[in-house]
Amino acid sequence: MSFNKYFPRRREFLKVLALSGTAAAAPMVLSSKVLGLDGATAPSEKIVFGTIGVRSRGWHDLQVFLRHENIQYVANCDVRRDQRERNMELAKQLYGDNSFKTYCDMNELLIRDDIDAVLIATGDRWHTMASITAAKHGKDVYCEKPLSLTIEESRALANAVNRYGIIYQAGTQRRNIGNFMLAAKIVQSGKLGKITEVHANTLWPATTHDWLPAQPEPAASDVDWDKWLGPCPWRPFNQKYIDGSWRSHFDFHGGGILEWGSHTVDLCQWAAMKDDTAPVRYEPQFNDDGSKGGEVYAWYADGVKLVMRSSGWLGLGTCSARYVGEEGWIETGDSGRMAVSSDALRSELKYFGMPGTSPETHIAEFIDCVKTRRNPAANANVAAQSHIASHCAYIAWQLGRPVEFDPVKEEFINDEEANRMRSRAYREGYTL
Amino acid sequence: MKKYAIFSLLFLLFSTVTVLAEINSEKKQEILDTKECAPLIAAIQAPGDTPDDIFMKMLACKRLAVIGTAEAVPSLEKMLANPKLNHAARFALEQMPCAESDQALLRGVKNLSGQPAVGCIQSVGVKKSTGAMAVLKEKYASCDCPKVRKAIYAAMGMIASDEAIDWLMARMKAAPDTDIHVWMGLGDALLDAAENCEKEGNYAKAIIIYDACVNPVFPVFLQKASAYHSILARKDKAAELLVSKMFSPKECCFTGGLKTIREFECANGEMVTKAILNILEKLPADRQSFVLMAIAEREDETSQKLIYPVLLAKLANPKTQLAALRGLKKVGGLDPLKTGEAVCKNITAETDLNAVIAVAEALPAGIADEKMVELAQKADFSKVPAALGAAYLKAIELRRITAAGPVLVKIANTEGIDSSVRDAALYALADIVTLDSLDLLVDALANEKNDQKASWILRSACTRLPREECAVQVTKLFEKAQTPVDQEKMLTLLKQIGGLTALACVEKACWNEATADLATKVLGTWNTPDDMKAVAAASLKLAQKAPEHYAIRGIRSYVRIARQFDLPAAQKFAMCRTAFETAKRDSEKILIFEVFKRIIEVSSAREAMSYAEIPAFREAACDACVAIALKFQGISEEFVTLLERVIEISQVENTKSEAKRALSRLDAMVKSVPVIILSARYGVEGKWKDVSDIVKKKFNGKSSFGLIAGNSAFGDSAPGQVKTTEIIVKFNATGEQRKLVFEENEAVILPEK
Repeated sequence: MSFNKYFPRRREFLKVLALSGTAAAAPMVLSSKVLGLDGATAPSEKIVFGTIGVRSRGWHDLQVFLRHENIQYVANCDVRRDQRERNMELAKQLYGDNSFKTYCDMNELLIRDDIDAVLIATGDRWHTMASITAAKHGKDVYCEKPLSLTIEESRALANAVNRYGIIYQAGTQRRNIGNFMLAAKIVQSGKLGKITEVHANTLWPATTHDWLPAQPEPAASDVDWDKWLGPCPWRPFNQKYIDGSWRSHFDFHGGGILEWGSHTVDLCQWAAMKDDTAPVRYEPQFNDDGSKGGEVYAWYADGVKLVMRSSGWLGLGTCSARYVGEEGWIETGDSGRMAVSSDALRSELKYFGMPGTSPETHIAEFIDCVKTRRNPAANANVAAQSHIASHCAYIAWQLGRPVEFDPVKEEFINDEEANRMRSRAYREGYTL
Repeated sequence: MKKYAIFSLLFLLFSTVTVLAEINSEKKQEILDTKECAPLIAAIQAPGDTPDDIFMKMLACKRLAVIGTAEAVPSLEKMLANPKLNHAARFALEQMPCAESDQALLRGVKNLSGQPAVGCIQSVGVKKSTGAMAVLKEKYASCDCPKVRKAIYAAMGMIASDEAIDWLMARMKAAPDTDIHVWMGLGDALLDAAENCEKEGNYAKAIIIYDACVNPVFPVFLQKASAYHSILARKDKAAELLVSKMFSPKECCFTGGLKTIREFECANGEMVTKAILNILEKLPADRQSFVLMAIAEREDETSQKLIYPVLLAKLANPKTQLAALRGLKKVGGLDPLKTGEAVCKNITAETDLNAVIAVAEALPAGIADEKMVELAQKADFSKVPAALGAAYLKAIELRRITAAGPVLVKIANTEGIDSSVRDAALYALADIVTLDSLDLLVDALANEKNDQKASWILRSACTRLPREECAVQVTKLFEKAQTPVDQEKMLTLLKQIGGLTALACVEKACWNEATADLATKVLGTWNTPDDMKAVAAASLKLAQKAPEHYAIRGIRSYVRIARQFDLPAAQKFAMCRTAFETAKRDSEKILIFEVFKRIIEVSSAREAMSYAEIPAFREAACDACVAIALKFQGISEEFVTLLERVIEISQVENTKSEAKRALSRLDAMVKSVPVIILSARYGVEGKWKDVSDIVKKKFNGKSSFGLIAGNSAFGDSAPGQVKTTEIIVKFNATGEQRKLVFEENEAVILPEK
């Protein structure tokens, strides 16, 4: 384990520039040429790296990983042959040899001793199961969000990560993006006064139990439908699921609150310094005509209100968050722009050119943590708490009534109906 | 998975081209909404093996998982033997807290084999079922299936009773399983059990298990995890073991120890830190580096104070300098000046300047800032190595040292200075410039050839300056701009600044022939929400009075505001009506339907359908109405009427079929509640107030609710008089309508029959 070689200084420098908002669009303050620090990384210092289920967002993440000199991409697992071939082709282009391996069963990839870390970007239904399986094989994990579909899964994942001492980074990159970092810093510095409300941008919560029409099931060598389903209830094959239309299906998806709440509720918990807890009461809201609205209000034990809503935002981009204190407010979103309540607060701002969707700095932090063994910003413990808050909100929304929650016991109080919604049974052969 | 393949074929034989759920959406909704077990039991007992039957049974199981009671257990237990429905049955049984469900699953473990047995074992483990031990042991003894063995290990780990732990330990001592995944499952189950012991405060037992798992029969990472937890569980007696890990030839043992250094509870911080510092010099330099960082990251003050002088000393060693800098980022604030001096003294050509910047950024404000400005004033940046100079200025930027303004201007204007240093000065200036000195920044940028860089720097400055005053300055710059490129830059900057002053400048430019093209584009993408009223007025004026090309931009900008920004629904509808009347072309008029689609309320569907009588917009109106209905989550008879109208007038087959689907969905929702509010009024004879919307909103399908029928809920329609509330309800079961009367301030509780 060689210390200095793990930290190519050029990369580190780029990271700091990015965190300070300079690297994304602006020309470099210091070019690598000026620093004279360009140097290849010896193979022995590389992080041997594999991927599980990388297609759209995952493919983008992978490209970012591959920009790091430390990454040696050696294997991919996918239930789709076309995706395995796509990865194989990429590896051939990268390394010019045939050493890259592909698998249909993730256990075969994870059992390899040489692999240090994996990127998991399957559909949501597999996130917890794949991450826990990777943890049980001692692999460090960068997993796309959301990390779980239920309260129980959230806790089980955090437990597995702690049990095996692996590094886990949830793909909720905003804790490593300048405008969100600055907004949280302003809140935590007390410049807004005592925090009274935090607002998280969420989406329409509903999911469906419907099935799409059955289609002929492809050969398992082309698409292994059984493995695609994984721990979820069986249903007949339809190509649309595997092309992305699994979203909004209850069995595969946690609903619109979780879809963005995994980012924005997380931001709220972070800014309000509530990373170790969750709200204690959740109330779904209704429209004037009596129909269910998409909003859920929640309250922490100290009275701070968490508003989960899809509308009423200032137009600062997707995944916005707003923090309200007794002396002012601040709102920011994926555009990188920020809005504040006064010119005094405005003087605290900074321009960040990096969109909230970019995983660059988040992945850089993960790689750093893999080497130093420090806990990353979106580690399993904090991500589990914000996911639990999102799950509670969705349960309240499904029930159409308020629920009370004990964040220590992770139980709803005197509410068996809600408590039974904290977990789902898995198919045979799948356990957390 | 042959059974699933066969299952799938069966589905193909039976399935139609329609979505399965549409076959019987009413029944589906009934299952999802019921609060009674009986209809769910009937659903799972129903004969039939068609796709629809299977779908309904699975759905009923999902609902039973939430509300099912012991009476459902016998029917669910029968399903356990059915390979198609085993999981569905367990989906329900696993969530049921009753003893009957445990017993059913235990019988499943005993009597079933293969995957169905695996499923039951999983559920028994999750539920920690009473009496599970004997059944699981018996199953283990009688079964040779690896998957069953693995499931039993996992279940035992979850149960974690003394008996279960002893059994697992005994299995570990036996010959390793030939299947590596099963064997790893045993290790994981032991760790699970040990964690349970810790939760119960039984650390001694936990340590026994952890130590037993540091066993070469297990994979290295499992040994590492065991070692790491064994150290943590020892609490204040962990030092000796931890120190031994620091010297372990196995990298995994060292990194496991490293993690414990970070994670030890604060109370043991001093013990850990002292123990590690005692042996620090005996460690190789690379290991020292990792250890230094790990201790610096500890939260307890004692550890931070102990590590601080060590970090300062380690700055001088090139092998540990980077780690020392990273550590000082965390604890350098203990003595900022001393830290600053030590860092500066030890900078060499090999120093990681990035880490130096990070330390500088983290130091507390105050005297360190003064020192930095003083040094910047004294330095000749044309002679300082460029990388170092730029790094220094970056630190000033990150610390936002406003007093550095004049020296930054001086550096930016220095002839012959390295471009990276000049850029660093400009970026830093953007982050500290004041309104009064904005022109200095603009002047400094005058010769900048890189437009992107110049825009970035200006925008960066304007982001933090007072908005209106900043807009005045930029307006002046716009007026001075000679070329379309410069004009566009300033107009874009004004949009980024936002506010009424900036908007006034852009609006004026919209009416100037020379700048109209640029300005109308900027207006159409204005994104500062508190300016929206003024932007709407400016856009509408363009739509009404500007030449056609710009009028089209105006109307599109106007509708965009209604579509994207947060305004009351009634205001959005009014804007849509205005836009519809003002727009000259159908291609703009039709944009209003996108506004309606984003408002999921009956009123929005009603508004959309008010355009359905105009032939050119009939289909757009119908399409919007259906889109809203498919998302609507409530009970509304008016929606039924609107959708029936869509079916009647639409000539698009897909719209008609979607309307039927929406109708069926709404109908099912209506039928799922016992009673529907038709109308409500509050007051006295001759002074009635329609409170239907308020009552409907509060009601939401429940049979009783917490509404107090008084002034606080409805407002006072007849001051000084005793009022009543009259609610007309319809009972779903019978179709009967009834008028219910409540005295003033009476709690409204609706009868279910």
